[in-house]
Amino acid sequence: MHSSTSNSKRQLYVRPLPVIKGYKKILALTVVWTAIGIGGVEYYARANSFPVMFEISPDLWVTQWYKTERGPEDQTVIIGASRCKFGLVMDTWEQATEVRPTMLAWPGSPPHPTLHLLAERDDFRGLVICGIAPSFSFSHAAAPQHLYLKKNIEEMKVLRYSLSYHLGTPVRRFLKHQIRALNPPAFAPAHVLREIVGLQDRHGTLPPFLPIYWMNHQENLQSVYLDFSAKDEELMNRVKALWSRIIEEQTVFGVADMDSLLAAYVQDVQRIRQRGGQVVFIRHPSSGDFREFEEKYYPREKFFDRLCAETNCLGIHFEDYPEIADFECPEWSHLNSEDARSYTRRIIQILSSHQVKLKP
Amino acid sequence: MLFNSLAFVVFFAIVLAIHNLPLKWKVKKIHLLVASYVFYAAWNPPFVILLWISTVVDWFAARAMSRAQQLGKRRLLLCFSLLANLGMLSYFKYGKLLTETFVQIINQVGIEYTAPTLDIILPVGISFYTFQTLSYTIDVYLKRSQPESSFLDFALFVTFFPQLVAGPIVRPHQLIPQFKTPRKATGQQFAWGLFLFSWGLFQKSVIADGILSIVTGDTFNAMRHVAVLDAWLGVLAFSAQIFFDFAGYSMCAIGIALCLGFSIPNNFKSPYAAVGFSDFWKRWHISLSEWLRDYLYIPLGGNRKGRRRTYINLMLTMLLGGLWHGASWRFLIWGGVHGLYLVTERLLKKVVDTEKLMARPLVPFLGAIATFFCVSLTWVFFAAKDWEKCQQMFESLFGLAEEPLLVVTSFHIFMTILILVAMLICHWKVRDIEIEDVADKTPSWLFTAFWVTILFVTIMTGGSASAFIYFQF
Repeated sequence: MHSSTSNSKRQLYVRPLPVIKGYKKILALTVVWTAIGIGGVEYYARANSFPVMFEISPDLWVTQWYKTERGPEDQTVIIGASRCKFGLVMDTWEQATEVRPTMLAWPGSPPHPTLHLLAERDDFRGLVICGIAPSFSFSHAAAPQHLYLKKNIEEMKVLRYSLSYHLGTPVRRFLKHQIRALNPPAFAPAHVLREIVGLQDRHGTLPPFLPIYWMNHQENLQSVYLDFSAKDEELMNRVKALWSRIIEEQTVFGVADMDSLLAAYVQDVQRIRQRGGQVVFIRHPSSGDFREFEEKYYPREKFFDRLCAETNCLGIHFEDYPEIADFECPEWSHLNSEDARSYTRRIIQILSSHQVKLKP
Repeated sequence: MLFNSLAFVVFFAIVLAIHNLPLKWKVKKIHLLVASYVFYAAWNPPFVILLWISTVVDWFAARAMSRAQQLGKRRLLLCFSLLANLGMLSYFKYGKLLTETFVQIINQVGIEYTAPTLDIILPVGISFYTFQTLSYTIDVYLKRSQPESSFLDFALFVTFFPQLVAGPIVRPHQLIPQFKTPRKATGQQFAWGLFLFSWGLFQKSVIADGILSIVTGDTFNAMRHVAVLDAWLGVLAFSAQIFFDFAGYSMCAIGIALCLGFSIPNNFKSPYAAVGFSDFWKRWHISLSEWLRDYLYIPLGGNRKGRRRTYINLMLTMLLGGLWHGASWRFLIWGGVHGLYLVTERLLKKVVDTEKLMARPLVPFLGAIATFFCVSLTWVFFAAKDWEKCQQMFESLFGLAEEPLLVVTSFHIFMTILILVAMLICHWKVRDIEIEDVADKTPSWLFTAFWVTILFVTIMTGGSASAFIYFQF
């Protein structure tokens, strides 16, 4: 039996301890075997050239936001949903313009909350590349996608003073770059187990089961399809199943109150413009059922075109430019990595042709 | 700072190293105090001021109370302490709720009024340390204990980082005497403390966050009604999630304190093996239930003033206990339902010979399962983000939804059932023993293999250091 000591009120409370023989040996063996296990995963990850991958978590967005606060007043910022994260490649952008933009796009989210934050900042007079994914940008205010960015913005207010965040971010960054094994969810045992168990998903459930390393989320919020993913038809079908579900759910909430949404956009765009900044709206390509759904529920003349007209901003719709009109999204919503680089170069050319100030 | 963050690993390594240096005990205590403030400030530095206010107010109030001869003066000092502590708690935690409710009532009677927007950030762990420090002043007021003579020891009692932000809520007599003599963990304490820390992290990161939170997220955040199976899985998964999340945190806190040579009592004792609701509250969040019993239920009269008054006292205690958990009327209802459970149980005991009933085979086990299901239903008020979602979940649970969604994947159904069955069996098996007893009976090789497994799986799961559910309380 363990060595128990009374915890009666006035006696000194001492926690019972188990009588474990050879606890030093147990501790040493635990450390050694755990290190061997992690070493094994590390070897596997490096042998397969797995890249450094970050989880999509609000603190990554917050880090990028703080970066814009330290950046020059005339910096370039990309906002919108995941199509921007996949479609606009920051390395390519920097090569073409000598300016590195900051990515603030967030999966499945409308861009307006971020645009509003930028408009409120008196020091911001840069270029805003605002990606418009109609099903997120023009969704009803009650739709859940409006909560995702809200959480980031709340975190941004709190983490500013968080020692834990300011200490933890560089430590995590350092370790992530040194140890590939620390790449959850790629090696999360629950994820691996799910792959091994291989149960057939019930029809329509979220999220669809996706394998380890099919895309890479980087700490700068750039997302990239790994080369093999876009060629894997079965994998792409699983992602399409996810979009089918999102499309179905979109119809539950309906569309935004466009009058009030546009009024908010107009106000924020004017504030940025008055300070010398510029906002450009880009409707990135989509394909298949997703495109059909967007054309049916969010016809461009009532939504995208109206947004550009009322804000008096340059609007680039992929259908209007032959050089970007034929890009195919392998899973209906995002470009593969090779196409994304080419698409980014062409977008920059289009922006230049409209005399958008890409360099300070 | 979260226990499941890299920042904490670095912080704790530094604290351990300094604590084990050959320094004077007073210096080590000052170091622990400073470390505790850093731990709290790591989240939001300005809120450390609240900790200082609580510490200073209660220190002086208790000392003045012990010197005061007149009851009136003692009462006044107690009121001062209660007002200061509960005032801060009310403002930060309930300010928004009270304002919104006031506006709703005013608008209901036809008066147009819009309150200014209150953008109040809830200081992490304020409910926990407020209750902890209140127990000190109330004990001194009731002459159960003398005021502490060392300000350093008292400040450390209020601020001790392992249990500062989410308990267990430790009483003065459990912790302050431990600060009187030098503390350094023995090798065995250190090893056991590290094991408890790993086990707590595994429960939090792997089970609660890695698996169950996905199921509860899918069901409680679904856009409309979900299927009956999905709804039950969501509710039962939340029961398990909140247990692994909170018990995991308590386990981490106990382990961390033990690594420093301090003893903190258990906060959970196989709660889902409870047979009946009074048994449940002796096993769930023990430090809070004992606090409510000693500082609310008994002072209200407990069961000493007749049957009807006992029921009223029970209801009041549970309602306030519910509201302690969060600034929403849903928590009040949650507490109210638990109060009703307790009252009903007492009424049943009047008409049923429970001892005889419990002696029958299988009855205690079935009683535990029934208790688990009843408790699980109350978690709907906890997990749902608003009243509409509450209603939606209850309708889904009882098949009253039209065209419900299927949201839980086959794999997560499998994992949820696996975890639930394993959890209930484990709770039942160890319902009357402690984790230390289990370790005693486990062969060394098996213990080592278990530890390696949970440590490896926890590290591999990683995660983005999501906050513990109970932090919001």
